[in-house]
This record gives sequence, C-alpha cells and structure tokens, in this order.
Amino acid sequence: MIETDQHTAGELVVSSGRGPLKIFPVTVPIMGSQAIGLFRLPAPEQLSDEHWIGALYPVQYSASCVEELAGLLEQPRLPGPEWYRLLVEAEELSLPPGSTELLAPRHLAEVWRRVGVIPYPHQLETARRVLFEMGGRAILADEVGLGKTIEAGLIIKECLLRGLARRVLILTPAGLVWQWFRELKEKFSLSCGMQRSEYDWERTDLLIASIDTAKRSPHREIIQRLHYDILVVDEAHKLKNATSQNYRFVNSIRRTYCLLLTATPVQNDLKELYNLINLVRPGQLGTYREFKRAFVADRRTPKEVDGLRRLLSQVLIRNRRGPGSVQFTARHVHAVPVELSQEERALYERVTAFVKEGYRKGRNTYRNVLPLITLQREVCSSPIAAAITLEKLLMKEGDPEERRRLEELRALALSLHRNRKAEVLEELIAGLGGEKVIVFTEYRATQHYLRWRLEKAGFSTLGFDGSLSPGRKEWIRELFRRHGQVLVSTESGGEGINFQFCCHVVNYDLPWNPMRIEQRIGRVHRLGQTRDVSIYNFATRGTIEESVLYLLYEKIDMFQTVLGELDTILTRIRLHDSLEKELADILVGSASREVMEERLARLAERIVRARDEAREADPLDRLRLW
Amino acid sequence: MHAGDQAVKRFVLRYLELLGAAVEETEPGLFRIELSREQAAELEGGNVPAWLWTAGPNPPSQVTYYFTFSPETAQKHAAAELVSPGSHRLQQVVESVRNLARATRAHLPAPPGMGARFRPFYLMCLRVDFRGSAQRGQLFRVAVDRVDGVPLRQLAELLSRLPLAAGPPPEHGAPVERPRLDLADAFLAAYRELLEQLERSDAAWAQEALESLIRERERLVAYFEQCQREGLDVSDERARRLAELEAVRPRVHVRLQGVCEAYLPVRTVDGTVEHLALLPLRPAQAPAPAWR
Repeated sequence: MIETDQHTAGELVVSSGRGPLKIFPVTVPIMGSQAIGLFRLPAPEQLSDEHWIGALYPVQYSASCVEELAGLLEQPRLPGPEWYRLLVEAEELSLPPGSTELLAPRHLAEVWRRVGVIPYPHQLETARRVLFEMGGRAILADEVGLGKTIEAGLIIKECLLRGLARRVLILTPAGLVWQWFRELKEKFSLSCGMQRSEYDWERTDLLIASIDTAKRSPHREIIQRLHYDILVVDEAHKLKNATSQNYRFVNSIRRTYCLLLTATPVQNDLKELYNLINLVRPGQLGTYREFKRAFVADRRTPKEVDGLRRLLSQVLIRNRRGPGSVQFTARHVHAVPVELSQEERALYERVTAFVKEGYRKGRNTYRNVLPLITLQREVCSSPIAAAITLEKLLMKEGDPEERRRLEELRALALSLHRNRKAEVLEELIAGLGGEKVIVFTEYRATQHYLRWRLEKAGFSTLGFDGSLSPGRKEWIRELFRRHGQVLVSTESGGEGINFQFCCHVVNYDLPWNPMRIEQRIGRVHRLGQTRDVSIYNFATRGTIEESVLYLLYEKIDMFQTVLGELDTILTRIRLHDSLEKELADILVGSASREVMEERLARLAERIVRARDEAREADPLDRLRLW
Repeated sequence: MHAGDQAVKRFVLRYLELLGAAVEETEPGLFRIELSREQAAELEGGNVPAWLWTAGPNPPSQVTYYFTFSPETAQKHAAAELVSPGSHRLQQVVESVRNLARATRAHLPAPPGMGARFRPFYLMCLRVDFRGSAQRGQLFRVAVDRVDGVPLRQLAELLSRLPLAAGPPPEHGAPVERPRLDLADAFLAAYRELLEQLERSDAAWAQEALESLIRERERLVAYFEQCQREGLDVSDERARRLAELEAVRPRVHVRLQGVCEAYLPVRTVDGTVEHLALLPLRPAQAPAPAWR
C-alpha cells in the first residue's frame, strides 16, 4: 500500500508487479477538479534493431512484447487451444482494411444511434479527403455551424482506428476546452485528457489544452520536445499573423498530421490565408514573395484564380450552407410586444428620467454611466433586478438629494406586485404544450425571479449560468434534456453548451450586442437540429427594448443573418467592442425620440452596408473552392 | 447478412460461450446474453459497466445485454446493440480475447501403443503492420519446433483443425522431449522466416510510399532554399519539417500477438521424426511430408 501524501507529483515511487508506478495529479474530468492518485505508466515499447528489406524499408519487432509473453507462459495454468483459435480470429478481424472506406462510421454507428448523431455527407467526405487525398494536413474552413469539430473528430477517430496516430494534441481557446472534451467523448467515444498541469503533456496521449496556456513556459518547452501524430488547432484564424506568438508556437510543434479549424481563414488580407496554408503545408504556395507575384492583385483580390484554386484545394476544404449543400432547418422569429401596467410604466418613466439626467450631468464616460444604462435595461427586464441595482447605487451615493431619489425609486420597484412580462411568458410557455423552452435573460436577479414565478405556475425549471462549473453545466444540460421543461439561462451560461434537443428560444430581454444574440440562437439552431426553431423576442412597448428590437430585427434583420457573418461585419465597421457603447449613447443620450430614431437608422445603415460589402468581397467566395 | 457480419457473429458467440455466458436467441437475430458481474467486467475491459451507476447499494449478480448482428434487427429493437465490423462492442470483445488468450497451452493426445513421445512447439500469431502513407496489416502464423528450431508454417495451419486438448500432456503418459529453444529463440526463428517471406513478396506499397516521400522532400528542400535566397532564416523550420517526413517513411512493425505452447506426439522411424498427428491425414502409400 502506498500513501500518496508521502510523495510528490512526478516522483517514481515503486515498482511492483507489472511495471513502474508513478504518482501524478490526476484530473477527474467530470468534476473538473484535481485529485492526487496513482496510475501505471505503460512501459515504452522496446523495438529490435532494424532489418532492411532491400533498400526500401526497415522491419522491426517489438521485443518487449516477446518478453511479456515469455513471462505469461511461466504460469502453471493457461487457457486451452480454443482460446488460441479465438485469438487468431480476433486478430484477423482487427486488421486494418486496405481500402479507403472510413472505418469510424461503422465503429461509431451504435454510439451515434444512441446519442442521435447523424453524420452529414459533407462531413464524411471531408474526413475521407483529408485522410486519403491530403495526407492528413488540411484547413477545415467550413462556414460556422457546419460541424468542423465533427469532421476533426472523425479524422482523429479514423487515424486511431487505423493505427496511424497515438499522440494527439488539440489546442483551443480556453473557453472551448470543455466543449471539445464533451463532443469527443459523447460522439466519438474518445476519452481525452484536459490539460491541467505540466505533467499532462507527456502522460496523456489524447490531450485538449488551451493554446494560451500551451504557449507559455514551462509548457511550451515540453510540447516542443514531443512529436504529435495529430495536431488540431481550433479557431485557427488567430494564427493568421505569422509574427504572432501563437503562430510561431504552433509552427514550432512537431507533428505528422495537422488540422486547422476556422470559418474565416481570410478576412482582410490574402496574406492571412498564405500564413495558414504555410502552417499546414510549408511551401504549398511558394514563398510569400512568389505567392504575391503569382496570385495577389491587391490585398483582398486574388489573380490567377484557377491556379490558386487548384493549389488551395489540395489543403483547404470549405463547405457552405445553401441549396445543393448543407441545409438548416428554418428559423421562425416572433416579436412579442408586452404592454406595461400603469405602475410599471410609472417606474420606467421615473427611472428613465433619472438615467437621462445622470447621463447629462457630466457623467459622460461610458464607464461612469454604465450602472445607469444597466438600470435602464433592468427596469425593462424585471423590477426586482432594477431594485437590486438601485440598492447598489444607493450604497455608493453620498449626495442626500440623490439618495432620496434612489430610495424612492427602489421603494417603487419593490412595491410592484404585478409583472406583465412574466405573465406573458407564462402564457407563452403554457401554449407550447409541454415543449422544452430556453429562456435567456441578461440578469441573475431576473433569472431567479422567473424560476420562482414559473415553478409557482407549475412548470419544472432549471437554472443555467456562468458561475456553474463545467461538470455541473453538463449535468444540468442532461437534466434538462431528460426531465426539464424550462431552462432559464443567463448570457454567459449560454456559451459553449449546445441544446439541439430544444427548439424554442425566448429572448426575455435583448442584449445590445448582436453577437450575443447569435450565440444564444446558435445554442439550438445548429447542425443536428432536426426541427424548425422558434425565437420569441420579448420587448416592452415604448421602451428602449422596443428601439433595440427595431434596430436588430426590422433594420438589419439580425435574426436571419447567417451564422458567423456578424462577426465579420462588426470587425469591418470596427464596432466589435463598442456597439453597446454606441447604442447607449443613442438610446440614453439622444435629446428626443426623433433624434434617437434618426441616429438608430444611420447605425443600421452602416451595419447593412458592411454586411453587403463583406458578402461581395470575401476572397474565398471569389475562389469558389466548394 | 454480409460475410463480414457472419464472421463477427460466429466470433462473438464463440467468445461468449467460452466466457461462460448464457446466450439465448429470443427471436431470429436477437440474442439475450446473461453475464455474471465478473464476466461483464471482463467484457467491458475492467471498466465499471454502465448498469452499476444506477444499480443502487445491492447491484444484481447478473447483467443482461441484447446483441444483434444485423442492422435490420437493430432498427426494430431499441435495446439491442448492433455488433458489427468496426463497432465499439466488437472492439471490446477483441480486447477481452487479447487479454485472456495471449498465452495458451495445449497438447494433441498421443495415439496409444505407437511408442510416441511429445515434442514441444510454439504456435505463434504475429501481426505484421505495413506503415507508410497508408496502413495495412496481415497475420503471420507459424509453428516453431522447440527441439530442432525449425519454423513450420503449414503445421500452424493444420493444427487449427486438429482436436487439441487443453493443458500440457498427462504427467504419466508418453515422455516429453526437452526443449532447446525458449520463447525468445523460437520467436527469432519465426521472425527470420517472416523476413524471408518479405524479401520474396511484392514491395510496390513501399516503393510508392518512398517515391511520394522523396517528392515531398524535394518540394520542401526547394522551398526552403528559395526562402534562404530571399534572406529568410528558416534553418530551424527546415530541420523540423524534414524530420517530420520520417514519420511517414515506409516501415514494417512486427508484434507477437499470441502464443500457444503446444505438445505434439512424434515418433522416430528409421531415423526420421514422424508426426503422429498427421498419420490419418496422409494417403496410405505417400511418403512422409517434408516439413522443412
């Protein structure tokens, strides 16, 4: 018996029976925590000297295997000849086929049947091409939502089944590590490790890690010592700058096969595409000088398109949605106007006046007015959420007059016993006949309030938010899938976990950043969703909510925008981080409703123009790779 | 049913029979399998079977599985698992067989009154993996005579059809010859036989892989030379990328997957060793087979 606390991590502690034991911090993946435990390191295979057949190829045998069997033969009792015959049959059945037919779909048929995965033809074809035509080195550049992760999983599984790979490293943004773990476990029966400590790099054959951790010492040096059979990099557009630390780090990793996953291999400059291609297959497009001379008309415009297309098609696969390729189920968008009660209206008007006044009073930096903006939005979400923010403002406020006004507003918010918006929500859910619904809200207070209301009305609810550990999120997702009817989720909780088994989404309050709306909808409206998706956008009449809905829905038709497109649009008009700020300025800082509407219309025009330009000018579109 | 599916069905049912499972075909194509907890753990590769999670404090002593080998039956029965070529369950059975049957022992009973003695052999199953840009494999089965060190391929084939019994020969029966070769020596004899076969066989796969490797290497070298001409420092990357190519160089890897320590009756007639196991198979007037 070994007492684990007597040893430090990584220390070789004992040799007993079948091989050395080493002590390591072991990650318990379901709980996402760490525990100290013992595990046996597989002894490295000892190979014989090489014997060359002609000058063509060497032959080696596993000496450790012979040694191990010699040990087994020393046992006095061994199974009889019928087992030997069965072993020969087992070995015959497990020989890799010589054909280029994928093994993984047959291997996983039972798993997929149970979890409800139906692989799409474009995903199978992509896996086949990467393995048998591209030598396992490719950029998977499908549009967002077409299942790049599935394609990469298929390729990894196929390589493992064929004995082509053993050591696999998947580098992703930190926020996607858990999602990769779950997808590979659930859909491919692959039990990967999630990197937690520097010991994980060497001891785990299938490892998922955050690229930001991996590129730092001491991790970077360990990784650079190893050779990976497969290297996968998700969100690979973050590698498009060849001078960046990310690029140089990935380029320094030794690997046999390499998959880069990105929906946007080029955004602003063809050089980005060149850099990514060079990571996968150096020299495929020549040196950059040669590439520029041969294929670049200007930064965003390729020339010699046929030649470039031929070279790219050897290393890049892009599947797109639309007729003749991948079709999604329909989205039905419903605006749900909510008429406030007289008391609620009074609270809204008084809070609005307070906020506008504060905005005008020289609190003219966004940071200073943020609590006011939040208050303005919360009052449309739920009075209880507004009351909590009023309480916080009160605690900070020193001016007696301001304190008096805040106290009045807080008292008014707490005095409201009726909530029209929650009533409409109850009616909506009751009308869905027991179908599962995800209700998104921006505020924790609203989330708690809604769960309380809905439970009281007889609905079974679950809460989902950013404070949950990955394991708990997974557990709640499973509870919702099996037993729940309503999931009330805050924004951060919506990222990374998918709910294709649900087809009703309620935007109880609207985020001001359209990217977050896209993320919300993307949880349910993605590949694997078999039913049409209904989206219900709640908006209280005559409030800023209505104005935001007008902008997003009527003006830029946000809810029908192609997944992934918005990211490009916002980057192009340089509003990625400042759209909420600009909206705040328009909605709270405009002198009159007319001015506000005019300014909103101008913003909408900018967004629509950028979208049209993005659609016309995508260099990949011009190359027609699909 | 597909021929591959038939082979899988035969293999899995035989495995379950040897494991001691109770197997019942409840309706055409659907098999109900009862395993003890220990047998289930063996099948599941030592993992805790899924049923234990929900079994509570007093888990049942028997575990029930439903297997089918045809996709049509799987469609009809939601609870039935489709065990087919490449399926996860088949892989589990293969791993379990490997776990249980890597080393085995057998003898062929000696016919009485013929002055027989037992000669020790090793029946070996070698897996030969051909690695290059693609991957294929084959089995190499051979019996190695542990007294005179000769590898006999035909004997390995033949023994699979003979009524071998489990364990070593009975203690008070015919004498057993003293082996001169241990497993390592016997394996080397088998390995040399395999190398001779590889020398004679078609190496187009290696030729093709090597040519592709050379083309890729030339392309990379030309690219890095051009980079250097343009004043770029690519020496590290050049070394790394060229080293990576070695991973797809054609090569063959051999593993001894299983061995059966077998004792076969022989006798010496006019100075020649005669395998008694073969007598009934040989035409009356034919000469003794030349195994070597």
